[in-house]
Amino acid sequence: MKKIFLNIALVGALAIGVQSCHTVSRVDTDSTMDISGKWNDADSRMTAETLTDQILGELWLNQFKKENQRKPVVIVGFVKNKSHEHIEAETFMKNIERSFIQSQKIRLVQGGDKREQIRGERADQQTNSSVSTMKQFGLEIGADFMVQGDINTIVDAYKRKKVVYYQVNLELTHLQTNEVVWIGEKKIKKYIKN
Amino acid sequence: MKTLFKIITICIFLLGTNVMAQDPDQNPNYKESQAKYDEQKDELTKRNGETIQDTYEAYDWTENKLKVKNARIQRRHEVRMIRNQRHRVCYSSNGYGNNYNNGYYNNGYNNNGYYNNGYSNNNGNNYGGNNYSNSVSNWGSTLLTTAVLGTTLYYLFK
Repeated sequence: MKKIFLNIALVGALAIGVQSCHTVSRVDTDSTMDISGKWNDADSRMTAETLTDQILGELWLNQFKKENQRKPVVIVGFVKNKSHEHIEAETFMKNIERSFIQSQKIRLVQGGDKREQIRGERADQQTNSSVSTMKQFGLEIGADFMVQGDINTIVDAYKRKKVVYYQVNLELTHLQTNEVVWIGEKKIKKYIKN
Repeated sequence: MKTLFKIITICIFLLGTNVMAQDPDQNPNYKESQAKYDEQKDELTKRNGETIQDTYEAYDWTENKLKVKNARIQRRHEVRMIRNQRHRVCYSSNGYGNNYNNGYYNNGYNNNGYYNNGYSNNNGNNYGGNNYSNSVSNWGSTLLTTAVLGTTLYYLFK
């Protein structure tokens, strides 16, 4: 009798141990892993790749270089997420910005909060740095273009089936003339069955 | 005098060059627009590089089903809580536990199959674990009343 109880207890403990097993494993950051069907890193990566190819490979760039004999200067504006999910555009926008610098085809200037911080540091230098190392105001590079973007979705769901369509658009507008010189687009369509 | 004349001439020349530097095609009222945006420039450039979340809620069958289920559980819980509070008020008002069957809790509302969770019935008895605290408070209240009454009577007739 005692042996039977001991066996039951042992099997029970083993079952609990197996159930509560928590494992963590490193996976390749380029692998595609869809779990919930929502926007994920794979979508962000695909968007970044497509938009980078588009922005660096289209006509506007050569045209600008031909007219001005220099590389264009770009500043990044905001991206508006008008979809039904929380999507952080910074993940793919940073990839695109990085490609500007790596390709050496486009010059990038800082904007937003980071620019404010830099100006603050420059202001601090006016009273604390030596004259030979002090950076001056009024010598920033003015951007030629601003990148702005939108994320939109269309959801079609019925019972356990759902189709989600994502459309990410980036636009490049000339700051002087207000002319839109390039529009990039990435479309993703997902079929989710619960 | 000659020097002053030279300075004035240079100034006029510089001013003239500055005016000439403007694009002839530029809108003469551009300064109005410039002044307008000069006031808001900080506000307008503050969110550069950010993602503005302006999301909407899409209808999802499965998520909606789950929401309805959770809302039902929450509502049932709240109903139980309110009922429990009413019982407490009821007991504490008269100190007796036998006014349960007062017609209020047995009006068909509790016995419609939906809320009939063994919490109340028609014979005045208490069921379910939630009434345990009520029973205890009821007994305590009765004991206290008896003790007060006993002490008063003792002092009156001693």
